[in-house]
Amino acid sequence: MEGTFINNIYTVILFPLWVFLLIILGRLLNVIQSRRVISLLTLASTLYGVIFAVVTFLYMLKTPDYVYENSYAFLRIENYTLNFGVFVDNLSVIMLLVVTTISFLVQLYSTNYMYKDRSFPRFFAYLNLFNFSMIGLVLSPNLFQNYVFWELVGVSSYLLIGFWYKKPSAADAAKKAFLMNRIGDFGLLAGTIAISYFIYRYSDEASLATVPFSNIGNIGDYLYSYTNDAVFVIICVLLLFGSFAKSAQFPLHTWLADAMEGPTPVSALIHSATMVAAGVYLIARLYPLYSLSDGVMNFIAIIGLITALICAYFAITQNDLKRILAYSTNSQLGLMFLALGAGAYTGGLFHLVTHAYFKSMLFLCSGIVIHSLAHQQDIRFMGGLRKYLPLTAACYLIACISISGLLFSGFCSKEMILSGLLKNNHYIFAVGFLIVALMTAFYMFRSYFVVFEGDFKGSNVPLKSPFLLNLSISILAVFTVFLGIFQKGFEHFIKFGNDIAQSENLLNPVFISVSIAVLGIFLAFVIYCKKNKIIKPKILYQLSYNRFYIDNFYDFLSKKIYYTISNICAFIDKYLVDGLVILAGLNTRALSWVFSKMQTGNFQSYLAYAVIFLAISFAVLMFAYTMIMQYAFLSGVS
Amino acid sequence: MIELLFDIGLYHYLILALILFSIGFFGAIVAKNMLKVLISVEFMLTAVNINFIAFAGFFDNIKLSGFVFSLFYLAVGAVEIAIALAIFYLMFRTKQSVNTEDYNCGKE
Repeated sequence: MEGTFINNIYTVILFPLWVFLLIILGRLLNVIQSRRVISLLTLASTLYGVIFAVVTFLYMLKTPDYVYENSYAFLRIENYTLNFGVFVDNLSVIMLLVVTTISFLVQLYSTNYMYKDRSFPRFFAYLNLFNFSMIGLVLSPNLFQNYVFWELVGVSSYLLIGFWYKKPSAADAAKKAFLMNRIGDFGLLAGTIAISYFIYRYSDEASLATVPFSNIGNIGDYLYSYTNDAVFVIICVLLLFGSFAKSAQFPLHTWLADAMEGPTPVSALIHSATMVAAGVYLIARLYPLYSLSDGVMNFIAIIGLITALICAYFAITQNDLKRILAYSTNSQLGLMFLALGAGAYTGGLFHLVTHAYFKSMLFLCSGIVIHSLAHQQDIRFMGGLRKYLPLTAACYLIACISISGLLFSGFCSKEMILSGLLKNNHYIFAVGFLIVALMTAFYMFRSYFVVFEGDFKGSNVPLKSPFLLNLSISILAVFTVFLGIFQKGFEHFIKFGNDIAQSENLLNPVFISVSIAVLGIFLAFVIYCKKNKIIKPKILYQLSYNRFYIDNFYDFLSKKIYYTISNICAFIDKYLVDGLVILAGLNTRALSWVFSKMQTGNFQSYLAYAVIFLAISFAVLMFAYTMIMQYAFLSGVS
Repeated sequence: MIELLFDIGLYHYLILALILFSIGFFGAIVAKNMLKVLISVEFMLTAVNINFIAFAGFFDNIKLSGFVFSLFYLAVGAVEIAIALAIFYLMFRTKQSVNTEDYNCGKE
């Protein structure tokens, strides 16, 4: 029975695409207008995916090391075959499970949340497009298909961020996200082509040239032996740039916070749980390649640590509720990169899974809050919402506890990362990790205390939250609380090399990290709940509030420097290149004007021209003759 | 300097011919009256004849072919001017003008 499911797993990719086309065409042809039908179709397609994911997952649990690959030749050039198809192994089935379940819950949520929006069908069409591309990305059998779906994910993210395209800030944010992602995609494409080139050129196995994920270990070994160190590192860094842009890591992190201009369910689905995790997923996929070089691994870890630190720091002072969560996402993604780079492979991926659940829950909670306060996002105008939205407050609190690493699933995944770091003797990274954990606890509980405790500071009374919204966050809360149980199973299910049995001597790290989380919560409690006056170090506050001026720097880079350069180029193009062309035309025109003016029709002028021409040609002939004679005499030839 | 002026040589003739030719050419292209143009053409013919005679006198004292040729050339010039006058007469009958600016049919 499982065989039928696994053999037909490609339909999981195609179903959302079909629904997407159905909604778009149905709207065009005025066939499907009903919002209920649209949302039911979407939910059905995602539920279909959930069922397939669960069945496949259960089957994979029973048969360890089972790998299913089914692909068709898409492009054939001599002995080079580019395949498109599906590839299922432990990693992709976990991702499939995460993507489909969160997608389902978010769609359930948006059925209610977006119901009053005029563009409801468009929203669901985009959600389906995203589902299609994300599932396609997760089930890609090779790096080329991965790249195609990588771009599709970027496009659907662009469409969804700019969903309210009439708002200028949303349109700008969409463009920013797309451009930042393009920078990374360029690196990914260049790296992919480079790998393909080296494998095709030097190895005997042409089938490896499309970089199939089933054989990535061999490809890594080949590539390592065919290239020297510098080239190998450059290829890896190019590939990593794709991951950095998609997961909003340090040099390219600025788009994620602006992406919050999109509707809240989009933030919950794409910009916290699934799409931004694609970068982490790709690193996990190509892990055998990266792990060949210590430099590359350290690079990943350092970038991750920088991102985690600065984004946690930024999150402390933000006033927009969604921005706090966005920077929190950013910082947690940094922790995943840190874990992967420092060798805590299983821990990083487990954190991906748990983080996906509790972060999407946080976003959905923030959506409820924003919805009930009539689109108020500033936390300074909230407060005391626990009385009005008790369930939301409880869920938010659960997620906060979890993300701080105090209890529940977040505790388990953070413990795994920390013990992985300590096991691989990365003490500096461990210290950085603890600092991030402290800041995480602090800013998450700051947002909790400011939003849900104290007195209400808004003007109109908050609305009650509808049943569907409560249902989806409750299900996510259940996931958040109980996912930690599967930690042991996960360690055996997803492993790299002999990277198991991390959980020995756990006592010390547990004590340290829990006490640090408690410290952070206590600080937040003292400052924001008890309203103790604190001295705000002004410079530090400003730096954090303005995000180290990195956005301003990019603005400067694009508006001043880039515009100046392009103005210079435009000037050169307009006046030099175009000028030459115009000059050629003008030259002909001027000559023809002169010649036409010369045709007076008066015989005397013709006479004059004839004599002048004769005189000139005679002078030239004489000159040439004398020169030739001179030369002949000088060289002795006469 | 005095010798240059009074000891007449080939160059004096050539320069005289050049001056005559230039006057003729100038007259031919600027004259407003058609008859003046014809007279100027005669000037140019005469200048060329002077050249012939000068070269013949200085270099060819035996065969005298230059002199003979200049005689023929005078005759040819007379014939030319007769034809030119005939053409001019015919054109004058249609244009009713001696002004050269009216003779701009070369454009058509």
